[in-house]
Amino acid sequence: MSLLRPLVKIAIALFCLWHMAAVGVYSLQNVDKQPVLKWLEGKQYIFRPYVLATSQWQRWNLFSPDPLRRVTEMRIDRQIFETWMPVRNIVFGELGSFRRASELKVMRRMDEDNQSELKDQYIQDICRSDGLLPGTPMRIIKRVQVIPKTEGPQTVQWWMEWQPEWQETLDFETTCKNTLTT
Amino acid sequence: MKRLLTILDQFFFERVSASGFGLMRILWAGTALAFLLGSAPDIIRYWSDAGILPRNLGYLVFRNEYRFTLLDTFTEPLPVLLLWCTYVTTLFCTLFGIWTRTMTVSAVLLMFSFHERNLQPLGGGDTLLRNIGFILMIAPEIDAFSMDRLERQWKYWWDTGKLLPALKTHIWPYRLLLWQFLIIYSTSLWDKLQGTMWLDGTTVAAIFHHTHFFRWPKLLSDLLSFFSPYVCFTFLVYEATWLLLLVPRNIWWVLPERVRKHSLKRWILCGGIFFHGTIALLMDVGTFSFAMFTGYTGLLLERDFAVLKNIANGWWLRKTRNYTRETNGKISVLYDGDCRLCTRSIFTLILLNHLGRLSPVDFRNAASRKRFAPDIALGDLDRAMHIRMPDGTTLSGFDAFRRMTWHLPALWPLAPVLSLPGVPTIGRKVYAVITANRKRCVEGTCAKDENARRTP
Repeated sequence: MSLLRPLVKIAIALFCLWHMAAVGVYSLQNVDKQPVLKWLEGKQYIFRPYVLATSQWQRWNLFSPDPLRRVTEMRIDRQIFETWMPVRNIVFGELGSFRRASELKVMRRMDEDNQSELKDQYIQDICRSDGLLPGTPMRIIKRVQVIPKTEGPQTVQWWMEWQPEWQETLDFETTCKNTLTT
Repeated sequence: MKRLLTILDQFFFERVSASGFGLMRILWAGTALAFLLGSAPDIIRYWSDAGILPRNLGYLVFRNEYRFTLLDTFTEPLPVLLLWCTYVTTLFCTLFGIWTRTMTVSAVLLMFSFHERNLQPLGGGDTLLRNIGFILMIAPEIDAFSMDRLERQWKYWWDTGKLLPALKTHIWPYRLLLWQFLIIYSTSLWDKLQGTMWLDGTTVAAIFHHTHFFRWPKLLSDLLSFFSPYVCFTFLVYEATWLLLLVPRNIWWVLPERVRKHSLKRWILCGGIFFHGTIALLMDVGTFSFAMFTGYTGLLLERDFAVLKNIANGWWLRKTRNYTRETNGKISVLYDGDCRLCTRSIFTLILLNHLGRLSPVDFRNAASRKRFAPDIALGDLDRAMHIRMPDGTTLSGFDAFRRMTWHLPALWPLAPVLSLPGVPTIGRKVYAVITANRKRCVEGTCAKDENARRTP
């Protein structure tokens, strides 16, 4: 018992050092110009199995290096007798408090990655939940504006006069598929 | 060599209070639960094959190596729903501390499963909850403030009249948590310095005009833009300050005594509460601010709790300093030691007495009654619980309870409610009904005979 105790302690201390090294090294990013950090970043493969298997991957780039300036909104329309009718509006004000961050994140990732399969799947999910008939034409209308990047801080007056310039484009078109097959 | 081992032993295995981790367990489960229940309409959409990310499209979103999730096995809507219900149940049990260890481990593993199934809706707060969850899962002592401990506490108190010794644990989970925060702030600072807008002081104005995040109308974001350069600069400095926690404490002797006596960590945590509180107020960034607060509670040690207690008691101690010696600056709570319900109630009050302002007095003990309440008739004491304030004021029944809520931090949210018009009238009636029946009820069953045998 007396021998086991120090061994357990050593094992715990070594595990702590390993964990600290793993999450530290695996969090390194944008270190190309720093030789030491660059070298450490090159060792990430050692920690990769541990960090990924324990779901400890992380990247703390919220609003950095520069904040997200592109503001995207999406509207999903369905066609009824040649007329397009909105069925979903993915904008801040129309989503519940607890769902807002997640749903806007889904939309941003769908937009940034520009994966048509994900957009199609997003629409098929709406077709299913709204019980739309197979073959119903659907489309995504994207509204985008970019917050200006200025040389330095602007005055309150400047911001009050600034108005977003929205650009609306047809982003994606598809039709509802047979929901029973999915 | 021996000296080195001693230092390492002290560094990882110093005994510290487990209360911080107990609080962190509660906040972790509460935050995860609130947002999980809030996203209930999206269970099938986010996590089943019938949703927005069926597994055959997974290659677009998630990796395929070292990835483990139960939701690769349970893919249809009904099993996913059942797994989600299990997840909610484990979080509830973790929150209240029922089968604490088993439920915490299960909740953490289920969190990993849900997060690994679909990365699309995840934000920084979810990542931090996962990181904190991992540390909670492996921490040796997370039982503080749990129902499990409450049961043991009651038995011990009933047998000895004392509470169990405060829970202690090794410090290594605290070190891992502190390291996690250092990683967050230092990598975040590094990343910010790679761009130009933080250094230009224009970031905050831009974020405030981003309609995915800012909660309030444009006019407010326009006005707040004035502070952009100051907030940018302060936040960069704040993030850099976390690195000072890497400096060993015994090097701080170079600083003047007036500076040294204050804990840098506490000031940093106060700054974090201010920053992340402001972010939560102004912006919608999901669970992020709440996850940060959750992690902060795990960084609290005995010294920090003592300082918090001193701050909370400062005004009270000043106010009561000149009062009677009998009460010792405390509120005497006179209760019936022969009544099981009263004893249970006083036990609950003692558990909630984190500021140490209450002093229970069994009025069945003649000496105690003579000392603390010589002027109150036994019959009156028998009819309702009495409290004697340090200035000699006496209150009884519902009014006594209402006054005590202001002195028990866990009941602070209840205190203003009890003073709302109409509530005292109802409260006094309810209290009268309870006291009229209190001696009939023993261990959950109520005898018809008022003289029914009372269990000691």
